[in-house]
Amino acid sequence: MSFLKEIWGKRSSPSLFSLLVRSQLILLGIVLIAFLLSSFYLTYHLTVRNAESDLLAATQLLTNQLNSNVAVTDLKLPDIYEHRFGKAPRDHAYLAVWNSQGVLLHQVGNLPAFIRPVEILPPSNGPHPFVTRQSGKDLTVTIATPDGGQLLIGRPLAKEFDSIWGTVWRILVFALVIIAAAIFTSIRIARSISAPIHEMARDAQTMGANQLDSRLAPDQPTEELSVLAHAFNRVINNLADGIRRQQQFTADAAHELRTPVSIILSQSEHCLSRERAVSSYQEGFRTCLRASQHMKRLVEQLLDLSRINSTNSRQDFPLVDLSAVASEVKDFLDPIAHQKEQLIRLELAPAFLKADPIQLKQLVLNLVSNGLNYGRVGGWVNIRTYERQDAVVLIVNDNGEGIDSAHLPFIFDRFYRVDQVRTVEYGGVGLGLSLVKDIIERYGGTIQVVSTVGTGTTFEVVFPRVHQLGLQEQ
Amino acid sequence: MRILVVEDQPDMRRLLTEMLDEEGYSVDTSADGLNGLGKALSCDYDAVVLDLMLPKLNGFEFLQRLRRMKKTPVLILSAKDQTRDRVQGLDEGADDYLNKPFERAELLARMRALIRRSSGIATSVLLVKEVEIDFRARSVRYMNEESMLTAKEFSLLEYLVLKRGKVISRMELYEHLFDEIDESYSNVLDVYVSNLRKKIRPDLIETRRGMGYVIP
Repeated sequence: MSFLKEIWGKRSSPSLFSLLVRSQLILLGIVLIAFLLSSFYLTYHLTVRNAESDLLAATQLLTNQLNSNVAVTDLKLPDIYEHRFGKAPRDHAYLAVWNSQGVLLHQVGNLPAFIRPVEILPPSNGPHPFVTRQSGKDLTVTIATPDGGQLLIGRPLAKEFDSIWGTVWRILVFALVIIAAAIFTSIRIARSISAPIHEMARDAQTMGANQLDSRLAPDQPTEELSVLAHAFNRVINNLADGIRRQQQFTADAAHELRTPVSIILSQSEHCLSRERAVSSYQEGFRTCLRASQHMKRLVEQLLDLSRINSTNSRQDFPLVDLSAVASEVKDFLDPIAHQKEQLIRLELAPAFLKADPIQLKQLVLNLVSNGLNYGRVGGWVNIRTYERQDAVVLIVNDNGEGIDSAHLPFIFDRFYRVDQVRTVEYGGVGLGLSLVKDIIERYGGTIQVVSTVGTGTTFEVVFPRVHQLGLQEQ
Repeated sequence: MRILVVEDQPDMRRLLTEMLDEEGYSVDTSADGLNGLGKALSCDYDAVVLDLMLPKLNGFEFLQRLRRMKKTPVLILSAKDQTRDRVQGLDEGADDYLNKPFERAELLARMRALIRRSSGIATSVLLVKEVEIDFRARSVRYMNEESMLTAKEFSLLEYLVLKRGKVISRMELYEHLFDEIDESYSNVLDVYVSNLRKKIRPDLIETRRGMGYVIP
């Protein structure tokens, strides 16, 4: 009984299993009822038509008697019909004759009380020269007599109805057996459909954020489930990649923060370990200051990164001229460039782009200051912007040291430093180019780098043109 | 005790030097792995403080190449804090591993332990000829009276005690007590030795003419 409750019990979200069983049983029920009704209707109709034609044949015989001048009152049913209509009194046929005035002239057998002459006489010939009436179990056929009166013959269809109801009962019993068998098979079918889904759901539930290594079995019993498992696995893969990248990034960030923190900590402990000369304290503070400044740069860039990745890309950005951004960056960096006698050169043509102007400035700034950092004394960095038919292009190149080809694949990685050395002070944070790449990808662009050691480096950034710029997700 | 610090970050390098120097160690430094390896191979250091992420030669490679030639005790001092890094470091031959950021007291304690262990001594307080030498507090007591020693005097005593029974040449003492920058004169050692005799007890250190000094 418990499984009946499982199938038919009221629940806010019924299980697939119970829905399947229910729907199969309901469908079967509809089919059985339709079958029952149609077979009842067919049998009933056929029986009535049979009885009607028998009665019609009898009227024909009686008409023949009238035509051979048998008196109306002598009319009687031929014996041959007794066996057709049945000997039992309840099957006995009856007949009645009325004249044109509707006066009953003659009757044979037990005429039921409700028998009346018809209002409109049937035609004496044509395709349908009779009127059939049915009342309860009684069927009567009326024809017109040659003298304008009418003749009715009828009988109760008791025997036929017995057989019809017998058939109905047999069909009902048959249906019950079928339903019992159907419950059994439909439960099995529903199980075979719902069990793999159940299993899949259970497997999926065990995959938490910490257990992203397991995957759903790719071969499922049905095609839809296989597709679902594949899709689910793909989502989990992406998620796992993202989490792994995030973990790596957090670990890297923590690692990068470790150096300045160790210095501040050790320096403070060292200064406080005993009383010292003022100059020694000053030196200690200078060290702490340098380490804190480095931390500040690191934290700012980490914030920039997370800000870029959380900007709403569907936002409606203003149209920004990349060439204007470039000359702004030149003004900003010129004083720094002069320290190493470096030159920032411009080759600008209008290049319009829908983007966050601050992020664009950050992009150009990072590329140019990267060029200045790795540039030689007296060198130059060139900024070029222009529009192509299908793209907005920014090229930043320098005549600096260049980047060894072994490093090229990694320069956009977070915390990757080409020099790997912090011998001279702290050097960069190692997030600049990573930030650049994030910004570019934010606006659907690409960046390519070509570098020759000793000759210089060229960064080429290409954004899709405004009119076809569909801002991309992530 | 003479220690080599191999660390590429200049502020950290200076700090480590100052900390160890104040504890009476003489400290040499290297800013990259290759230079550090050269120093570690050419001189008998009592311990090496090694960073892992070094230019030119990283810490693991440094260890591999050092271990082919020498057993110098090595303490890795690194910001890499993952278990696999620690395991790799120790398996490559490091004797201890300390994560950055570290605390001054712990670093110094580990240095003391490292040097003590390499001399085969288990405790940090030692009794020699009724003289109680405390390596942790860097203090000396004789007849319930504490002797006030300078850092260099204590280092000399420490070295001789750790190598007790062995005759230590003046050359070796110079190598272990003074770093490459110290200007050392030949008679400085004699001054330290006679100070120790005066401050503690006259027969603590014996002179073997033409060979060196020994605590029998």
